[in-house]
Amino acid sequence: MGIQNLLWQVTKKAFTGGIIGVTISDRCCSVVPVRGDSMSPTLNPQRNSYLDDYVLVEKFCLQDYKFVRGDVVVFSSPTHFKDKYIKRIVGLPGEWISSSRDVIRVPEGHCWVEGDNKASSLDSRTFGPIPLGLIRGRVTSVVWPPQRVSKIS
Amino acid sequence: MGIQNLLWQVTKKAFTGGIIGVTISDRCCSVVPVRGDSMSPTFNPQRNSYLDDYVLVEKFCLQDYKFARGDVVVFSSPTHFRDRYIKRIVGLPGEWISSSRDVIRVPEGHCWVEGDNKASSLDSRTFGPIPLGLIRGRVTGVVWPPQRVSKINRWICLEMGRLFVIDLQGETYSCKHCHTPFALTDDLISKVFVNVTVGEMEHRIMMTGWHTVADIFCVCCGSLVGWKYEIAYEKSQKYKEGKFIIERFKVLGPDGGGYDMNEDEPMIGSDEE
Repeated sequence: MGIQNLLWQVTKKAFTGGIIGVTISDRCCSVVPVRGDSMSPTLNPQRNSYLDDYVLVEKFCLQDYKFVRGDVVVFSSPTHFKDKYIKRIVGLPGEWISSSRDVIRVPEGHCWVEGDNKASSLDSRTFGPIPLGLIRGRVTSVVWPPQRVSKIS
Repeated sequence: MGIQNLLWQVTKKAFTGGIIGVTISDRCCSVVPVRGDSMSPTFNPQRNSYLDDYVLVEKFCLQDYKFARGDVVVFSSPTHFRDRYIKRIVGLPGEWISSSRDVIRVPEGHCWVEGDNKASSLDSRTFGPIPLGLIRGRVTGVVWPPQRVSKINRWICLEMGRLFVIDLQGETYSCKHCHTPFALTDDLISKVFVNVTVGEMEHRIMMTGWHTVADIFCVCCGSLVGWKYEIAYEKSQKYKEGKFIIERFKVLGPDGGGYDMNEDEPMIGSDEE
């Protein structure tokens, strides 16, 4: 009887803890690994996948969607909806971006994102401005490895 | 001391309940009101905002993003990111949509949405195809007011070369591959089978004599499901004209199993293959 009761208590606490964890991850912040080097040298300066940076992504920005130029954001890819990309916002709605050949205006409700490492970055220069509704969070700082802990400016 | 402890317990339970509610609302399903009449008559058939429909939106579809043509989805607007719209998917990635003047191909990772009430609907005809990443959930049914409680099915209609599938409420026989309904079980003897396309007429000798028949195919997946009698050459077989025969092995009955449901001689089975 004692063991059963104990087991039940532990299960309840684990379940509640799990649910709270999921909610925090969805609504407050979460830690995600950075893949690829499209954001070098800000993120992943070495091309070694064992040393991928882990960054803190905060989700409070999704309440009022106030982004500024220079924010590094996580967003779902417009072409491959299951993938998430991390890039920097360089154009807000209504601004003009000079692309390779012409000047493009960022439509209402969209933003222009580009990676810091322009040579190897798949970003708005390829798939165009992305709707702000695709953004999943804003990167605030690097949390791993410990020697690279820093805030993203 | 007792009161303080009780208060603490109640607060803890309320907080936990609140968190669980938020998680369920984000990840499982939630109930949202429908505003506007862009989806009449499916939602909000009257223009009275006191009688707005409330619908159940399920979020499990966001795990693997498998949408089908005809699904009603909730998505964030591409132009006004704080707004959510409810529209029906009429085009999946890679399909061609005939817009007002030209034919557009739906790009990879996007879908074409339109409201059922085309006259007053702000949809893909205005803002173009939307990335699938903007979708926030799929509508499964109306939950309020009680007299309008119903499931939303993949109602679509055939028009202008664009594929639409008619929904049938009730027990139906449906395609074995894609579950598109063909006929109500009560309508077996009727001449109204829906969601089938008719092929070319040809003369064939059946067990009962020469007939002119046309094969019929499921309008969604194109599989052969049976044939239609166009002309019967013997007087005794005239009653068959205009009637559809669905092959037992190609359909699912209302309980999911194959049924022998044609009213004709049981020879059928295989004049085809």
